[in-house]
Parts: sequence; structure tokens; C-alpha cells
Amino acid sequence: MLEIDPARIKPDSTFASLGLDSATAVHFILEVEGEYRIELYPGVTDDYPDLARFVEYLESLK
Amino acid sequence: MYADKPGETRALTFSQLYLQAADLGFRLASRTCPGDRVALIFPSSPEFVVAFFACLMSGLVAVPMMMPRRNSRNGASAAIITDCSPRLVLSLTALDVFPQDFRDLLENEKIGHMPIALVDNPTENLLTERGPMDPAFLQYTSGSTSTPKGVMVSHANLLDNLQMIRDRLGNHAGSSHVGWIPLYHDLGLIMNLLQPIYLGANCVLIAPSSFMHRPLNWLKAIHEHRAEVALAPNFAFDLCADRFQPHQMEGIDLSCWKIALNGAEPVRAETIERFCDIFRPYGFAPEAMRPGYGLAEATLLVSCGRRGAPTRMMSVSTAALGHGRIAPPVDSRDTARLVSCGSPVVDLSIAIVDPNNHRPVADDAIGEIWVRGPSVAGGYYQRPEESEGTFTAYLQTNGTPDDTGGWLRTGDLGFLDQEGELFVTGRIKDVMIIRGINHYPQDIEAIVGACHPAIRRDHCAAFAIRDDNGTEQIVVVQEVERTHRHSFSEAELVAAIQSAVVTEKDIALHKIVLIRPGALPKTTSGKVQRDLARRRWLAGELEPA
Repeated sequence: MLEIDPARIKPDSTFASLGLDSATAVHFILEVEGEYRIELYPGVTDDYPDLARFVEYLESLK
Repeated sequence: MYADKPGETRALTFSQLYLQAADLGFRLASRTCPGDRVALIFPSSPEFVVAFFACLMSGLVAVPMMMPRRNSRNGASAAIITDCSPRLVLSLTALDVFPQDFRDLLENEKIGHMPIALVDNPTENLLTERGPMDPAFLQYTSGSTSTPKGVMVSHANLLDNLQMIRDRLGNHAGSSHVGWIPLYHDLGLIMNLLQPIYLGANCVLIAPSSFMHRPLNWLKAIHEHRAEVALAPNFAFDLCADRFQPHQMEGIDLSCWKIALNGAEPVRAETIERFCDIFRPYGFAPEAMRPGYGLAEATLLVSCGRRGAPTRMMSVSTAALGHGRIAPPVDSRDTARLVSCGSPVVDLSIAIVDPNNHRPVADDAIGEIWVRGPSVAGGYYQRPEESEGTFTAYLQTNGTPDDTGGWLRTGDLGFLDQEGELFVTGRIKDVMIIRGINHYPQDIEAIVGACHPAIRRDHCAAFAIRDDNGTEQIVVVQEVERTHRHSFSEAELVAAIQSAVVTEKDIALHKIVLIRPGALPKTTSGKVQRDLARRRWLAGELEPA
């Protein structure tokens, strides 16, 4: 989706540093929703702006 | 009417709007003088509508602004505040939702703040007489952060363009509108909010983020409200097609949709065809697709096809296009498809002009689009020089200026075909358009220049290219600082640049190219040559750092 080398993605990478603007965030959120069969909300990647915090939030939904 | 999240729908009737706006206008009058600017910083909400009309009724100049972005330095918001020096800022909530430096700016500039809520029993009323040529609002979509330019739209400009929109699109009091475009954007403000109010028609507003998240909900709302008019930039029609899922469209009937106006960014033939193919089974009529052309400097709408007219497309030679001429394609590989934006609205004239000598170009040639007529605004707020260059141009005919002048130079390129319909082919101004929002290269370059010590300040070029889908994207070419050229981490720099630009501008850069110090093309006076950098990048000629 972001056309970047997965090796560049670190656990503490912020979504912004990976080039996730609001438009790509929507695609990303939909992918995550489909993959994990959960429902997220617009702006979730602003509230949990890096991978570590986002994953922690996803865990809390289980 | 207003719809946001399910269950959070709020509505205003026309009489409530009048009473609320009159009451607020009365309260504003005690803290302002007629002609003062008042900044409106709201999400799409009934409070914005009330605040906007309160300004119109009390002789104040409304300045719709975007919400300051979270975690951002909000240079653009600060620049607009400094440029228009408002007496008051109005917003939904207390000031503490705004970033600290933005609050500091308001305090230092002694700009007041008023939180706006609808009142239970609006009774006050104070109408301030304003002349038709007085500014109604300032539209800030045309300038960079360093030079924000607020188009002064007068009451007369606005009323003329609203009438032109109504006539051209065949709108009437039964033409319900459903839209999600932000209200600080001219397309959202004028065509989606003020036009239905002008008609006495229903207006349904959806939060922009809600559209981005679930685009098909826009179509659902069009169905539910039996909307005749729903408009958006080109990308939104692509987004609906991208997100199409048959089960989400069950029972949806779009046959009510008469005007699907496509504007604010280049209109693509492929998008129109794809959207029509996917949504025709749900009642969408292809002749509803209405590509249009307009700009804030002309209030909004300049040209558009009539209601019910099929969209005209034209195949032309790509090679000839590159030389500024219109010719039939030689073969399929030499083919570019252009979409007609219709003929100019009745009150406006268009001339296609050589931007260098200001003479009208030949019929088969591309030139700068010039516009003249009553909805062309008076100029940019407190920028007489830029205003003169843009708003009061003279056509040269036979070597002498034509007698009346008063042409608006749009900075866009195009041609008029034999039917007098406008085809937009490109632009000569610096602006880059991402999802219907204008961005300026110098703003992106300034953000990039300040984001990391290994980056060489003022040695950056930002420019737009078309990606494989034909969508406009931004590429940044940046020199690495001499002292860091052997020690920098490319991944770290790329992440820092992406992060800064996403945070400040909400744009993901398409490519970030790091080059060695001195490799960026500049003029002898040290000015970055963006166009040359762009051509070299496209040709693969830029040396990596």
C-alpha cells in the first residue's frame, strides 16, 4: 500500500513517517478491519499514531 | 439539515437559521465594527452556517478556515490570521482545543474569541446595511503559507455566481443537496451550502472524515434524501469506485441524482467512465456527470455543462499537446483524452490567451484561460500588486490593449472547441492539487528544509507528476547537507521528511529523492528550477547522494 521496504518498518515507526496521510489511512484501516474482523473508526491512526500503540489498541479490542 | 454520525443528526430550518444568525449578528455587533474580519474555525456544523450568516447580516467579513491540525505547527492557519487580522475568532468550543502556538498568536495579536452555540430563544436582530460591492467573505485557497491570498468575494459577486449556478444546473427549490466537502473549501461553501440556501432547498452535510472512511455512505445519503445535486472533486468518484461492494449498495437507487458535479481538480475521462459503469445498475444516469471548471478568484463556477447534457470527451494527440496545440492523435499511443467542462456560464466570458504577449491564441492552440464578468472578485485582501497582475489584465489585439480590460488571469491552461466548450489541459501557476486541495511547492520545500539537520535548507524542489493512474502526486528532490553526505541514513531522512509533510499538510509524498550537494538545478541568482528538476527526475538524470 505504501510501497516501502518492509525492513524499514520498525515497531516504533510512526504512521506519519511511513507516509500514511488521511487518505491512505482510510485504506489501511479498512485492510485491518477486514484482516482482523473488527470495526475501527476514522481517525484511529491519529489517536494511536505509531505501530506499537496501535497494536496495543488492537489487542485491547480482543 | 445536517447529518454526521448515525444518531447525531441535527437540523436547522430556514427560519431557525435566520433567527439564530440575526441573534448572533446582534451579539457580534457589540464587539466589532462593520468591515471587520471574523475568522470561522468550525467543523461542518449548523454553528458554522449560523456564524457565516451572522457575519453577512452584521456587515462583517467572514473568513472560513480549516481546523488547525493536531500535532502540527499550523503555519498555514497562523499565516491566514496574520494576513487578515481578524477582530474575532469564532469556533465551536473553548480555545484550549487549539495548539498552544496558535493560541499565543491570537493573544499577541489581541484577537478575541467567542465560542458559538445555538441559543434557545433567539430574539435579537440588528441588520447592518452593506453595499453590494462590500466583501462578504475572504476565500483563502490560492496562496502559499508565505503569501496567503484571501480572495475578496463581494455580496454582488456571490449573488451573481449563485444565480449562474442555478441557471446552468437547472436547480430549483426541490433540488436537495448532499455533500461532505469541507466548508472552508469554496466548492463546499458555495456550491454545497450557499446554493441550496439560495434555492430554498434542503442541504445535507456529512463530515468529511466520515466520507473518507465510508465513501458509499455518501451515495446512501443521496438515495435516502433523494438528492438531486451532489458534487465532489474527481478523486471522490474514484474512491467510491474503489470501495464499491455490491452488498453495501443493496436497495440504493441513485436515479434521483441529476447533477454529479466534478470539479476542484482535473477531471479524468477514465474516472467518469468507471464510475458510470459501476453505478449505472443502481440508477446513476451518466448524463448526471457534470465536469466543471471554476476558481475562487471568479467566486466559484466559470463553466459547466447544462443539466441533462451528455459529457463530451475528446481524444487528442499527446505529442501535439506537449507543443501547446490540439490535433487528432496519430495512433492509439499518441492519444490523450480530454473532458469538456462545458461552456462558460452566461455572465462570464472566457478568452484563451498567450500568457507571454497577452494576445488571443489561434483556434487550435492551448493558452492561458482568462475570465471576465460580474462574479470575478475585486482582488486579494490587502495585496494590490498581486491583485493588479491577476485581476485586471488587458488583452492585446493588433498590438494595442483592448479597451475594457478587467480580465482575470487564471494560471490554468486550456482551449475552447468549436462549440465554445472549455477543455482544461494543464496550468502555468505553481499550484499542485491533491484531493481537491491546493498546495504550493514553496510550502512543502520549507517544511522539508526544517525537518532534519542532514537536510540542506533551501536546496529542495517539490513538484507534481502524474502517477500510473493519472493521479497528481508530489515528488520532492532534496540535497543532503555537505557535512552529512557520508554519514546520513537514507531511511532516517526519508522517514523524517514523510513525517513532517504528513503532519503539516496531510500529504504522503510519492517519491523522496536525496541528491548530493550542488546537484539541484538552480538559476544563476540561486533560485530553484523546479521545472528543470522535474524534467531531470522524469528522465532519471538526478545523481543520488
